[in-house]
Amino acid sequence: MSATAHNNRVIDCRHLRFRWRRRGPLILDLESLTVDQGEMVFIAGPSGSGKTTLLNLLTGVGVAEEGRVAVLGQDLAAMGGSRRDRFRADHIGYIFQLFNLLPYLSLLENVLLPCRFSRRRRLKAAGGRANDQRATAADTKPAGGQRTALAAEARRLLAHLDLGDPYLLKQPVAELSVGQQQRVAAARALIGGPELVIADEPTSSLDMDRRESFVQLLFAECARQGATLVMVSHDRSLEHLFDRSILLDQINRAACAPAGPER
Amino acid sequence: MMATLTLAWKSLLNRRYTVGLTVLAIALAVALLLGVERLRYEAHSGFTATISDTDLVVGARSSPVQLLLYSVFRMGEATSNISWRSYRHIADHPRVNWTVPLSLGDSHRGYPVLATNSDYFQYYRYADQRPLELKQGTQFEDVFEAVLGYEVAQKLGYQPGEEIVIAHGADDVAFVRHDDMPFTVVGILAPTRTAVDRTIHIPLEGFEAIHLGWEAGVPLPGRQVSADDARERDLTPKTITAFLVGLDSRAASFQLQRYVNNYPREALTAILPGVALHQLWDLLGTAEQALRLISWFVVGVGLLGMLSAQLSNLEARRREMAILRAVGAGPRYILMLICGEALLLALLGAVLGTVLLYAMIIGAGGLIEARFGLFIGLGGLRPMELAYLGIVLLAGLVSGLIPAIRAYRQAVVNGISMRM
Repeated sequence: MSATAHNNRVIDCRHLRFRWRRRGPLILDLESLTVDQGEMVFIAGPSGSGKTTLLNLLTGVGVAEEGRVAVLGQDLAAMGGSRRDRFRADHIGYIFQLFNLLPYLSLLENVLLPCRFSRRRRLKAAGGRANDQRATAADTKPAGGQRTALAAEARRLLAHLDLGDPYLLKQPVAELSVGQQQRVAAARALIGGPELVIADEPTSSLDMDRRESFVQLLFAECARQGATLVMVSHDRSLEHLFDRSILLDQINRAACAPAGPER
Repeated sequence: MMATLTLAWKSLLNRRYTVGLTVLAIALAVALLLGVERLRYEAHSGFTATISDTDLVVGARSSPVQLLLYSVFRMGEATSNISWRSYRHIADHPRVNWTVPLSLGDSHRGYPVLATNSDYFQYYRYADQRPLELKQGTQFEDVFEAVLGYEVAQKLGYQPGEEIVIAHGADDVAFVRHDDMPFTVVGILAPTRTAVDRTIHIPLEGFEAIHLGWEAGVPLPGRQVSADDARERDLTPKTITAFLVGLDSRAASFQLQRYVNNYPREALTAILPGVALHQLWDLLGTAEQALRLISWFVVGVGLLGMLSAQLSNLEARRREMAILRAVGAGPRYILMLICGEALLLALLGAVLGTVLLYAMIIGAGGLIEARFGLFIGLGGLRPMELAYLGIVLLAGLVSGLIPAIRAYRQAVVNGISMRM
């Protein structure tokens, strides 16, 4: 899209300014924020630092009034709303702090949820992560064959995340432990090989001793898929595990206001 | 598209109890709406089809609707009779082509008995000028012979050759039966879906014979007459209840109506059946409107129930919406999801309501036909009913817009975060 975009730059934010309302207070005012491909980046975002706003802009749910947000070299602000939604479906895996799973879907269906919204991720997941060129071949598979391939890929991912027990797959997702739910969410974020995985406080609902192992699993699987990981948290106890950490309240010149619409 | 539909369906299944109740409420409302409409339609077409090709109905002075109801539909009772002489006099009017005398008042096991003559079989027409046909046997010829309407024979299981006893008056009370002069069934009419099916036809002479000695309304002691004695008497009736008139041209109707209404020797009323039917509809129109209004209100209440369920569900479904947003669903998808859900529930309600309607027709149609003489057809949905269903669906869609727009706004405002 842009000639100046770095080839291996996954996130490239420049001169970013955002406010909720015209003439309202600035929420976000970033000179620059970049993340390279394959990086595991920790963003420390205490409340009031503009964390939510930044996540909205990175996922293309919101648009900055000024500046440029490029993800994978594509300027999100230049896209229309529905194209941004499709872009998010295709390229971004997202993990919430809590309540990641739809209770009316089975565990496997939850993992495969992004494949319903993104053809690209569906084909990639069905074709096998290892060689993407098979994706086109997977498209010609009969529907049943594709479904089997998708389920196999989901099971493979779950096994990597220590959820290989076939007994678990039959459980209603609401009966999984929080730690299990978060790992299912990780599998969902990773299915179909999105280039960028964003995790919003994914560990804050976990026990202390589970947090590190969760992050390590996430690291391992992102590394295996070549995905870039951005984890946002106000809890800095895990910061040391990451390649790099960014302190949002320091780079955000509009930060500090503990009140405001950050809520 | 298919994938999102299955997702929406699973979400609905997850809430199946509240959703089921919503659908049930809509279905009951739809069944009521369609039921009222069908009842109205069937009543209209049934009544209209009962009499055809008759230009005038003449009876004792009364309101046109009342005369029509008792003479043609066997509903209610005549206030008084008219004399045989007046009848003969009017029947001899040069513009009159044919007449059919009718005498009513007796019954057999709840079915009305109509005394008439062979002209009835020759001239009476129903639906689109269709004549009466015998399914079995022959017309009556002897004084004590009877021809049964189709339903009478069916329900009571009579065959030609069997004898029936006629009760005095409309109620079948045991002590006022004409059991000394039974009638022999000689014929059974083919079904007409009109009041004829529920009628027992006997000759006027027979009617006269069984009432010999009954001048006071009850059998007087010492004045009873045996059947054989009765045959010896002059059985020309002194009075009849009403008569149907066919004219040489329809244009003469008003002329003859005026003639009858001003008949000097007796207070008579002549009605044009079509006009009297219209008066009847006008009379019933208000009640019909009220019924229709009530059923639309019930539909409204059902849809309001859906609206309130959807609105209160939005709060509980924030998590679901946030997850869908995160995996790539746009605000418009959320809008369509909620709206589509409302439309789907309305559709399910409409389909289930229609099924309920048909189940009720199958289940209770016989009862309604037996009790009220109203035949409810099992035919397909008529354009009016389809239009009603369309309105229900449209209203469902519109009511779904309200929670859908709320959810849309929420999706835009909340962003990617899950605000609980």
